[in-house]
Amino acid sequence: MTSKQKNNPNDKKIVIVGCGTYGRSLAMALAKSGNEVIIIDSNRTKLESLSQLSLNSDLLVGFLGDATIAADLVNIDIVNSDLFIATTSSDSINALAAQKAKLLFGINNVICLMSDKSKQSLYQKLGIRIVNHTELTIESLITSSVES
Amino acid sequence: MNVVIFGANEVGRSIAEWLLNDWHEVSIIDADNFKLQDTEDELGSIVVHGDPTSEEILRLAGTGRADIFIASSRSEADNMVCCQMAKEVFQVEKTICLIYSEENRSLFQLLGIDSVINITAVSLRSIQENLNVDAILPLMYIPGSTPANLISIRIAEDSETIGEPLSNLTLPNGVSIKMIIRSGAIIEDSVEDTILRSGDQVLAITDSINLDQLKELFQ
Repeated sequence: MTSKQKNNPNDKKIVIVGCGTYGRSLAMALAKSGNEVIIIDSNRTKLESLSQLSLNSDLLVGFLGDATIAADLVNIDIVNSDLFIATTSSDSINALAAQKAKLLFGINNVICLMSDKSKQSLYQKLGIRIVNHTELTIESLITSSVES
Repeated sequence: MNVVIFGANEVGRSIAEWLLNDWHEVSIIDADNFKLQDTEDELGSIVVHGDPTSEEILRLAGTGRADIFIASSRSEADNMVCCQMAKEVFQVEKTICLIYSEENRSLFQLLGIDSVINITAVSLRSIQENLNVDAILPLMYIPGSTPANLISIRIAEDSETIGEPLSNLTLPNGVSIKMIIRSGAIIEDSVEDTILRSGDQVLAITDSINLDQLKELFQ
């Protein structure tokens, strides 16, 4: 892993699960603002698309692995991360990875992307923050429709 | 009983068929319409189509009235989420989750899923039993204040125990022999008086500490 940038006192070590549309954009934005970001995905092609886009940032590292497997989470040094964000397109995979990070590795700050609202309270009770991207999209679509 | 099953695959369908034959109320959920169609053709209108992890679909399948929820799909992540929903949202008394490796067992147990069954381990054990190899096979773990194991021991050809009645043997502490099976049948005589032969299968209760000693004695 790369060492932290010394000139930014607010930088965090962030793990992002899933190198899809959400994960990739999020990883690049967080690395741009000075955080050390590792993005894990089991799909090599998706990770390769990352390296083409983020050529000159040593704060962003891609890792080929499965975030629902404890050994892979150990390999990315998960215990020393400040924030864990699960962003794959599967609610269930996100929930599995997030609960492993929270309950098996004791990560305090865990965020989980979910498209189905009905599961939200279950995971919030476990101390996992849920971001519902379907709801956010719909809200924004409604706002835009009203404005036009 | 009222049972909801997630996964219209071979496993889920077999469980449903077995329960229906015993007149239990069963419904089976899957997101795959083709699998559901086959299931419906075979077992009747017990199928619910949709995302099995969503509250609405679980409710539609009758999870609110279920005594047992069984997640038998290929996806361990989906199995986990719907067992959690069944337990926490619908207060189902018994949740059973299938897994394919040991990776997720401890987490799923920690999350309050009542039974976690590793299909791969079950198949492996069945193959081991069928291969008839000289081996000690764990058959059942018996929890309790002093946990014990029910094990099966196959007597090897050159075992020092052959030709002796069982009562003459010094068994390690914590081991007791309950039954002897010879050529596929239970020996009805008292276990104590039985003279062991090569190939006999001995069923014993033991604490796991003695396994090595047992191996030495019988094999």
